[in-house]
This record gives sequence, structure tokens and C-alpha cells, in this order.
Amino acid sequence: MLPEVDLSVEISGLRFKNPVLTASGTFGYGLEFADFFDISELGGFCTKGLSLHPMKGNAPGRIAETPSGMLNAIGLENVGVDCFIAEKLPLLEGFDCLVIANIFGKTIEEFVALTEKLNPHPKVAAYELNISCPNIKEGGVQFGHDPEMTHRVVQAVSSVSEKPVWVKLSPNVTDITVFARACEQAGADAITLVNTFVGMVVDVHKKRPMLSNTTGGLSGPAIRPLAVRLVYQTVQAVDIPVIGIGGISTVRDALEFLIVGARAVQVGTANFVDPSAAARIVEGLREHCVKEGVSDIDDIIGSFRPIEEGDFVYY
Amino acid sequence: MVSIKVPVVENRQYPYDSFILAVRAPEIAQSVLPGQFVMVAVADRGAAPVPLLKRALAVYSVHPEDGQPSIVTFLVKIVGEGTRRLNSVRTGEYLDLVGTLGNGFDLNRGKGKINLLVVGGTGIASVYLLAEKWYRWGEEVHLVYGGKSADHLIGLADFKKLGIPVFVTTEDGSLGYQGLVTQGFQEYSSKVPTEHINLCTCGPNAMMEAVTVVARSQEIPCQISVESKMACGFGVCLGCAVKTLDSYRLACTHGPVFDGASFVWESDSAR
Repeated sequence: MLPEVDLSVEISGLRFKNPVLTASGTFGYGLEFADFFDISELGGFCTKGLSLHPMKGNAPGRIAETPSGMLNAIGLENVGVDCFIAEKLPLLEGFDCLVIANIFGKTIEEFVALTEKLNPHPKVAAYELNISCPNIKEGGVQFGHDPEMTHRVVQAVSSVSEKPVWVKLSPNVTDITVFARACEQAGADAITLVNTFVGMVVDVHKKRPMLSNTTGGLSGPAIRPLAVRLVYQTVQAVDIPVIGIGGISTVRDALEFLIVGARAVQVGTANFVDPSAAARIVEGLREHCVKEGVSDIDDIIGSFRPIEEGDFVYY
Repeated sequence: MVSIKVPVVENRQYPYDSFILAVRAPEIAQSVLPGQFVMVAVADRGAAPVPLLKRALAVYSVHPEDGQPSIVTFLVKIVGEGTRRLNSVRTGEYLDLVGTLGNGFDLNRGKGKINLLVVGGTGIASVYLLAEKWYRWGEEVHLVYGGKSADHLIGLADFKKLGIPVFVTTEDGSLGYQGLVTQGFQEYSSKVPTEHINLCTCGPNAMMEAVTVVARSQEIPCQISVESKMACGFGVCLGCAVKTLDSYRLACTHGPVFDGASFVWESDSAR
């Protein structure tokens, strides 16, 4: 029998049985994955972004494949918060993993209204504010690309929220630490990053964009090094927990984020490629800890050793 | 739905970059319905494969082993990196599959009808199981199958072996009627009272669109099997949206088979 390893982590007052979550927009409403593995094995998952009213999303031509990655411009298609509460949430009751409701609005009032609608439902453990979707004109990123707007929306939600408030940041900014600090000062309980990087693919035969939205968000293994660096920077800048996202498809990938200080990770695009990727990473983390003689995952989190004056590295 | 790793039992090459891959996958073989598909990639590709995503492939045929459905085949044409990589697999290598996916054809629509399968090129991959099912039910099934030349008509022998009437069209006239499959379809269907026809079509978009235009004008029921770029195949990425008269629909879970009467083509938006 394997030695016991404590994989659990504490984030914003919530105890997660392990630091592996799944990212919003890549895991549906959770139920879609029940055929592939027991989602109770996860630390938690983030729902598809929820809006006050259902959204039909962008016109076809929503995704394009790129080297080790993909571009998407789904346009935040979702069933709407009322349908989520009535039809999806009851089915999640039976699963022993924390549900994070990812929410987005066109206005601060919409963010607040969403929070108030979800507050009474105990199965929702926390909120993840999406202020970083690159694919719609209104909402989302208008809050995520202006530190003052970030502060205002986070403060407004925090003041009415009965649950921890996480904020998902856009990487498409000059200095992400400015936004992370704005969140912290406004009362956010944790920061998740990164959302996708804005990109573009051109159909060279038709001389048109591959996506009907012209641009889309890049995700997948291709963005991992960019994400690791931004998580590393953010961890230095704030005291609240940081959750790392970006191209994680193996245990090794997850470890990179944990070592630089992410308290947990979210698996995203890998769920499309291998529907049991997240469960595989949970199991792999346990095996890694056993092999390394680590009894508590907290000993790995933030164990990064920066290069110091005079250091050099041979491989 | 299952996510499984399965062995390749045969990779047979055909002219013009086509091939038929056979895998041992009883879980899929026993559950697949005509018109359904599977997400497929070569197994053990590492953490950051190029291309990243699996490919959506229709199940072409199912074959028994020891009296049980066990072998599943995919009829594929190389169109990019994903299919090129699949083309290179050898017997004994493994594939990762996620399936069985999609809605499949509405079989009940074919009862008591003259079922016309109108197929262009590699679209043939989606209709063999359908022809086989209706044939076994004792329903009347006809195939109208068109391609550039006789050598492009992969799988033709399988349909002939099934014993259904086949009307062939080739653009160069090397076999059958010379012309486009859509012309062949009009020629062929003109001999049958339209109220008896039940139409199913699969092929390039322009061809399917032309078929649905005829079907709409003559009020012939028409099911179309469409392709759309998809990341997951099971309704989560929301990437494979197509347009219907009511709303956007997902090719993976609402389709890949749609009613031709309500499907909106790209060129419709330009009209």
C-alpha cells in the first residue's frame, strides 16, 4: 500500500481535497464528464461562464487549431444562471467536489445580480469572476483591462458575496501585477490566471480569418511557459492565493505551477484532448509525492529556488 | 461514452490519399448507430502533440470476431496533419478513441420509403452502416455515389457486395454517368415519385447544399451529415457550432446529422 499523502490545500477558507481543478469553459457544467471518471476525484471545477440571461454564442467558425494549441472564440455561449440553478446544480449535489461558479456580466450591476442569485445555493462554493474573456465586445474584458474597473467590479461583488470571490485575470495586459493588486485591494479572496491569449489565424486560401470573430483566445500546451511566468510574477505581487492555469496536460506541467507558488491549478484544454486528463493528474501528483518522499503537497507549493547572484545552471 | 486505447488491426491504403483503418474496439462496435462518429488520435503522443486535437471520424463499418461485433473501421482521406499522422499507423500500434458520439441518422424515417443515399467522395464514410441497417430491415436503399474518377470511389465494392442498387457518377466519365453527383441525383430521382423518396446525403458542403436545395423545392425529406471543426466531440468545447433556422447547434451532440430543411449554409448568409 502507498504511504498516505496529504494532497489537500486551503484556498480562501475552502479546503480542497487536492489542488487539481478544471477550468471554466473546458468542463461544461461538470456532468458531461461523468462517463469518463468520477468527478468527485477532483479538488473542484469551474463551471462554464454563467450570465444573467442565456447566450447563444458567436457564429460558426469558433475554433482553429494551432501548433500545440487552439484558438477559440465561442462567445460565452451558456444556459444562463437561472437554468444552471434549476437544471444543472441539483444534479451536482451528489458529487463530492467543490463547484466554483464562473460568472460574467456586461455591467457591475449584472455581476452583483448573478452573485445574489447564486448566494443561497450551498453547492456553489465560490465565485470566479470572469473579467478576461477576449471574445465578446461588451463585458468581460472591459473590466479586466482597466485596473480601476477591475477594482470596482471586485469590490461590488465582494460586498454582496456570501462566498469567497476569485478573479480570473487576462494575460493580455502590460503588467499583470497591477491587476492582481487591484483585485487584492478590492477584497478578492484569490486570483486565477491565465485566461487565453488573444491570437489570430488566417485562412490563406480564402484570405479570411479562420474565426468568425476574427480573433480568438489561444490555449493549450503552447501557452504554458507564458502562463508559468505570469503566475510566478503574480505570486510575488500579492498575498492572496493564486491558482495557475495555462496549458497543463501532465503532472509535470501542474508541478511547475505549484512550485512557483500556485496554491492549485486548473486543467483546461487538456480535457478536450483526453477527457480524464484531470483525474490522471491527481493520481500522478500522488505518485510524485510518494516517489519524492513528500507527505504534504504544501511542501511542494512555493518550493521554487530562484537563481541568486553568482548561480549558474548546467543541465 | 468511453475513452479507450485500442489496437490497429489493419491500415489499408487506397488511391488519392485514402485509407481504411480497422481497430479492435468492441465497446464501440457494439454500441455504434449509423451516422455516429468517434474522436481519434494516435496513442501516446506526449504532452504537447502537434496536432493537439483528436480527429472526428465517422464509423464506416463494423465486423464481428467470434460472433460478436468487435472490429470498427474508419474510411479516411488525408486532408491535414491529423489525418496524415493517422495514415502512418501500422498494425499493432494503438489509437486513443473517445466515442461513440453524435446522434446518427433517424432510421425510422426510412421505413416503407425508397431511401436514396446521395454521397460525394469521402462522405461515403458516414453511410455504409446506414445502408446495411436498412437493407437488413428489408427497406429499399439506393446509393448515388460520385467522385472525380473511378479510382476516387473508395468503398464502392462494399456497397455492391451488400447488394443494393448503385448509381455511379464521375467527373471525368471514367465510370458511370459523367458529371457531378448532384446531376446524377436529379437524373436518378426523376424516375421515382418524389413522395416515396427519403434522402440522406453526405459529402462536401457545396454538394450537400445543392442536394438540399433540390430536396426543399420538391419537398423531399432530407437528412444531412455535416462536418465541423471540433475540439472535444462531446458537447463541452462548444466549438463545432453550425447554424440552423432556429439557433446555433453543435455538430457533435445535436448532429452530425441534421434535417436539411432547417440547416443554414454559409452561402445562405450571402444571399
